[in-house]
Amino acid sequence: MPVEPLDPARHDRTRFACGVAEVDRYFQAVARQASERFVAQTYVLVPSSPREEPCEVLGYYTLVPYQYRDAEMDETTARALKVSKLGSIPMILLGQLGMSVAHQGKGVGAALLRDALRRSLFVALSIGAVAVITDPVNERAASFYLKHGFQSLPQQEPRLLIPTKQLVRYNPDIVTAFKQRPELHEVAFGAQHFLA
Amino acid sequence: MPSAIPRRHRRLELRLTADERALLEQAALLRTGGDLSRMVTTIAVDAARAIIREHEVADVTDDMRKEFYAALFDTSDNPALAALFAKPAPEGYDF
Repeated sequence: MPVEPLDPARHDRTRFACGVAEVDRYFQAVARQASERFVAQTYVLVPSSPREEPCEVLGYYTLVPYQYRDAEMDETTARALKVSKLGSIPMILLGQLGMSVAHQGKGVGAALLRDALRRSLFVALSIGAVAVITDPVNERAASFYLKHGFQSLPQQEPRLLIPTKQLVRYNPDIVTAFKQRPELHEVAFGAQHFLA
Repeated sequence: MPSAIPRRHRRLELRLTADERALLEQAALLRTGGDLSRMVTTIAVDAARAIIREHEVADVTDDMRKEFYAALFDTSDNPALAALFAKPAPEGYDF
């Protein structure tokens, strides 16, 4: 599995360096705890054939459930989104994304972003999320996300957004698999067999 | 009569540089007569409340709201996003 959930026993967090101190710090000091407390989940890209364990991490991203609260949402919008009773709009926050310095400039960051967005789409199909949002850590990160299709919200800088409907449009394979491959939904039951 | 002040019995450890520690101690002297723990707690709790308030009651103006919902309901083509999903996986990486 090339991109997998962070496992502190198998993934070396200490050597990861992407060149942005706070992105490194999150991975080294926060990601594991956030995952263990079900606040966020971090996924890591590892080498195809790791030579050691714990293995090097080439890049990572973190997804976080997010609720956009708008106390003064107008009725039309609330009706359009079917959120009148929720009082908030479910979204997915791409909280972190970082590539190891040694692997930057090879298109791997874009591939990692693609993985994050496809996974987000699966989550959105599973429990609902109308958009993926992110708050880029710096100008360079903002350019990266804008280049790959995020929309800017100039009045809410640095926030960027992609509506889930756009993810649906460009990833019909995920939508089809979600609807037509029942085994994808049998994880909980399947796990019982693996654990037995 | 029971005290109305909740007891502070939870610990929070911080790692600081020597300079940061000295700065906090100096401020604690001025603010609380040297009670570093009380000063840091008071300031941090106030800041945390402000951050939470900011998120809950974000000062959303009508223009911000309009901008946000326009982006949310945007179903037009997004060529940059299409290109991202059409890109082949980079060579040498197992995506």
